Amino acid sequence: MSKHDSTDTSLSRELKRGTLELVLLRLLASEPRYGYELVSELRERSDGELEIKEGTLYPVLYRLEDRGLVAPQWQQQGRGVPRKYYSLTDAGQRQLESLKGQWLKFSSAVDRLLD
Amino acid sequence: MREMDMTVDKYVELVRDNVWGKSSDVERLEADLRARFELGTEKGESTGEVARSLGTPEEVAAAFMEEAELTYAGFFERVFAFVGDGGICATLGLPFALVGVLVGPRLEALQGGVAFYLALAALIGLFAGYVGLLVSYFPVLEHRFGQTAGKRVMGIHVRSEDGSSIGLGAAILRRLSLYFEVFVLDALFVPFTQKRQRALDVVAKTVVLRDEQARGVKRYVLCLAMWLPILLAVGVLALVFPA
Repeated sequence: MSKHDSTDTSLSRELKRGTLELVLLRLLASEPRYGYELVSELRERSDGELEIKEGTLYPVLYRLEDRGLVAPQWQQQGRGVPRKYYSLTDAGQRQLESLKGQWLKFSSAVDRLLD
Repeated sequence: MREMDMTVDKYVELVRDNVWGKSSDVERLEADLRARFELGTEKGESTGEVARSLGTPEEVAAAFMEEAELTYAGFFERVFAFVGDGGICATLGLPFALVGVLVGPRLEALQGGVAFYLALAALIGLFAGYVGLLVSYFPVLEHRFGQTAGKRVMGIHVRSEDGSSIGLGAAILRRLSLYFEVFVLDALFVPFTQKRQRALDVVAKTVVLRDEQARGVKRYVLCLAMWLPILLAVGVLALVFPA
């Protein structure tokens, strides 16, 4: 376990685990991306809050792939190394909307409680 | 850092050693890991840098196992594998028994001289050797290959609960009930535990998993057939040395 993980509180770890699917689907909704890009985007757009090891992202992507929410495609640019791009499927788009709705409802409920 | 001097092959091997799942799933993971290392080379990253960005092999394996669905081997699959192993263990004893049968009766002729005690010591050593073989058969094979001959025929593997291969300590621990002759009692836990574990599997944190291609009646028959060599040999011996 990395140093970063061990200093994580269990709440933020659970939150990350629970929202990763939603966040990944959202990132893929704008354009197809490959693993490395997804990890960089997650890190940059969350100011490091949603940092994830790339190798631990793959199995999550496989789950989304096996459920038909994302579709992988190997693409090669010029003579470069082939990259596996994931894009959102129609089912993925519907799942994104549903998860987003649930999240907004849930987070606003927690916000109201904390005010 | 440890990853710094790790090669790509070593990294992939460590991940594979700690995961268990459908071979297509494991191959998909391996392909993605290797592709990531290649991408790193293209970007001018060192193997160590890529490994740090991927996470340790253990972290990657743990994430994979969190998503994996494990199929636990059933009670009868395990019983038949054990029966098959019994046949192997009995067959392994054949050479030892042969030497004993041939040398034993001739001991008396040596009439208590030095040669007698040497021959007796050799026989006792031989017997101890067979006992050692029996005792180490299960733990050594299960630690080294994740399966014994019987389990191989049956298409089942022993793994840690988290999917990694089992250490020698766990392999010995889960076999203690056999050594202390409470194996049947231990085995009776299998149908009633969630992960189809013997009591000592629970203690050793081990599970027995069914390989994805393992199915059919043939493997049960093959396990019984593992007794054929010793039965044939005993039959032949009975003809050669009539009592």
